[in-house]
Amino acid sequence: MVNQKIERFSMRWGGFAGDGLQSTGILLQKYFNSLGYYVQGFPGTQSTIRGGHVWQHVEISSSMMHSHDRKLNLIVALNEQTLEVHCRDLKDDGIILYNSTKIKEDKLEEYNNFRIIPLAMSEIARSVDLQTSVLANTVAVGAVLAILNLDLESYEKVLEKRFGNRENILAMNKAALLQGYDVVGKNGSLFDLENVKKSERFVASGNEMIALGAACSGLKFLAQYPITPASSILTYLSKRADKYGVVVRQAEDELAAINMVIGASYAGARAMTASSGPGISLMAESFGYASMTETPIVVVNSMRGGPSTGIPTKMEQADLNSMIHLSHGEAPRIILAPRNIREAFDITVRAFNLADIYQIPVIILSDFSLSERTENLEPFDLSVKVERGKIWKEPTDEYPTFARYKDTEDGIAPRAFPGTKDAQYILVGAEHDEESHSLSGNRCGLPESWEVRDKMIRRRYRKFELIKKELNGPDIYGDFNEFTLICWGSIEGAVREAADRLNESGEKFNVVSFADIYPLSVDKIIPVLEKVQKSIMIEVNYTGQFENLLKLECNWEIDYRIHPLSGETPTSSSLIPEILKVIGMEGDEL
Amino acid sequence: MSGKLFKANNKPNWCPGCGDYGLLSATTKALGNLGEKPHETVIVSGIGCSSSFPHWTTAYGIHMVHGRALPAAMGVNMVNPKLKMVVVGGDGDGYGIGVGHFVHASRRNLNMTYMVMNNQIYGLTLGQSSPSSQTGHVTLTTPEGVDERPVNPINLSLAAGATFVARAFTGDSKHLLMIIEKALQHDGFAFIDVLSPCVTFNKLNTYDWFRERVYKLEEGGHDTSNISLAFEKGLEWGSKIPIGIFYQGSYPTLDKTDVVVSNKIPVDEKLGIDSFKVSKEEIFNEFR
Repeated sequence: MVNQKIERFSMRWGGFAGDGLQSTGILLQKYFNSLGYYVQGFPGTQSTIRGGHVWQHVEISSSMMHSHDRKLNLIVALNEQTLEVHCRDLKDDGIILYNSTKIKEDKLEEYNNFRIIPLAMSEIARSVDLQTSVLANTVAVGAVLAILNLDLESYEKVLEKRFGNRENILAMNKAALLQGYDVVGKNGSLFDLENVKKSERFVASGNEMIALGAACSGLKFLAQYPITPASSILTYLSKRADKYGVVVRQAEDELAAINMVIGASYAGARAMTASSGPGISLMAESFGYASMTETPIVVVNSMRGGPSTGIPTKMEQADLNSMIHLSHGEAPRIILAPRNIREAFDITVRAFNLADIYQIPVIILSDFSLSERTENLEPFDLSVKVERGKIWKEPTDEYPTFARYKDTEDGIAPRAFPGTKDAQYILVGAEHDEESHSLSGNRCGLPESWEVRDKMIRRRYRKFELIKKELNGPDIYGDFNEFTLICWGSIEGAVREAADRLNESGEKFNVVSFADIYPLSVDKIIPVLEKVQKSIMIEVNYTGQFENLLKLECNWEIDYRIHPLSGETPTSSSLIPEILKVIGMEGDEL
Repeated sequence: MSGKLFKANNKPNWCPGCGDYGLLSATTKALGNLGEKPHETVIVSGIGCSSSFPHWTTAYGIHMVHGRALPAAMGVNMVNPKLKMVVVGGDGDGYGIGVGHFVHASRRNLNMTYMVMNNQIYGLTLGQSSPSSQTGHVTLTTPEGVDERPVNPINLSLAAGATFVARAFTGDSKHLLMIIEKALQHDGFAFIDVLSPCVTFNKLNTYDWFRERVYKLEEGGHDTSNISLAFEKGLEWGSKIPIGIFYQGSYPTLDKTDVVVSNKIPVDEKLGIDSFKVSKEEIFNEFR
């Protein structure tokens, strides 16, 4: 029998927290990457360390993917709950590979429309080693390789790299792998993946690319307090602090973290902190201080479902308003929202340059989906252009004496770092004059202060007007046609895939996506919006925060809107029915 | 001359007679006496009357938001440990809103001197009780008298791990100067609880009130290396109030234990991949 050739194959592993699914997922992605396939990985996590229900999505394709999808070819069920939760996403010809040690055969009865393969994962694992229950995953990997008609040797190489010289663990994994493979056997294979060429690609998450982007930009100081889904920035850089020359400190809270970062930046270092909603809320006061004192800092907000504790391990795009308004008063800032993992690196590089050039806090607005999702990327140049903006080291013709907040034409005056002679000044959150003398205290309310206050506000916003001109407009994917899907940030990949699939039966959709969120570069945006016929805005919040910003800044009305609110990251399969619904079409009308 | 090097030409806006003048004068003198340079010194403060301190000096400074002076100072210290760090503030700033950072700065043994101008009252907001206000003290917010117990900053910092713990009184400028000089010379987190009377809002803990009570630990032959004894002396508050050095110990400072700062000055390093100890290929290989 000839196996079915398949271009794209998606599998989901489900089990208890603590089963090691995320590690297995990464190993599998690295394996398929080593063969030359494109991979997408997505973790389904809960705030549970042991027990509960977690899953790991792994998708492979012989052609480039923009996002993972919800529809599955294979479910690997380590426990019974996996069947209840995930079989609804299984394609009609899908396969269920289940752990027959833990799931009774009769539980599969209601799923007998699918292809079902029993595998005594735990029993086989125990036969290899009684103590190491995670070997059950490796047993299942063996079976998956057999199903896909793949050889064992190349997976063994991945194991060798993973376990290095821990020979005992390596041997156990190889044994488990072989036994799982043999249960399905060469004759049991069901699919052949399309052939691909080997590539140089590597597997990374959004947070890893933010962290690497920061280090390559010259990050010297990271202070952070652990929080999902921003923690992996801290852990990635902690492990590589010495190699990258980055001082990494775990702060006692987010208040400390942002204030440490401000101190480090004042002293001349590129500095960053990262958090998620609850921690970012705590940082509000000092974020305003950074804006008022024009101290360049980079703050990563990896959004999760809010408000309050919300849904910590799921994505949402509901922090936009609070990022625009974080802290009291009128405090200029820049907000950039990477659309994909590769762009997370570039945006981080830009964030540091913009922060230094304009002496302003910059927010990188990621979310659970971008931060924790993984995919494989082509290697790229890690030598990035670093622009540190105006820095005063000694008297020059232009600046014979140092005045930190000199009322220059572009609104930007040079900074000086402690250690520089004749440039001592006090960084102060109170309104201040050109020499950074406070207007609080004895000068407050005096007529001389009226003028200074007015001048300083206008100077800070003069910079802001320049930023508006410098930031990018949206990207356009596909030609303008009947409908334009509009989105921002991490969901762009899923939206693009939705457009592609909808266009399979006639070109009707294109995508306009934004990464430069605030301030909006209105002059670059309006010409794009003018080409739109019917617009469909997709954003993961209830109130349409980006839509409202566009309306406010560009005086532009959206025709249709989609707000996925379940907490699950939108995929093309979840978006297509929603898109068809809002425009009043059935699938076969396309 | 060196004694005036750190003194700015402008005049503080503190009330006449405020204890903070004493600390400002002693600190600028001490820094000058010890040969520190204003352009290589950073003075960090929070919010409150006393926190405008950096503005009256010639050093670099950060006048931070309320309670966060210590984290900001740590940020400076961890990227440029060559700079001399002095952190100042009041009891509201250090023992109230910022008390958490006080504990962690002590625990980390940051290489800096932290001086709290403790006047046991909120002055800038016109006379509310503070975390160090005495029980029974009638203030704007405690018309029946304070019904909480005051924080014990000496024993708090000792318990948290500070390696130099002292108390001084701005009414005794010579002794104050001596303590500050020792603190500035200490290798590690040097904390001084500075009794600095508020002449406007605290009519209870006045200069006279303190003069009747303070006594110098060193005159009784106090052993500053004995931490148990330091805790014991730290409990004394009432008819007798000890001033002087309670404890001085030694422990590696954070800038000596951090894997990066212990080996290089981050702000002097190149930026980006040229400063990495790994190649581009090794970075990508980790992801494969």
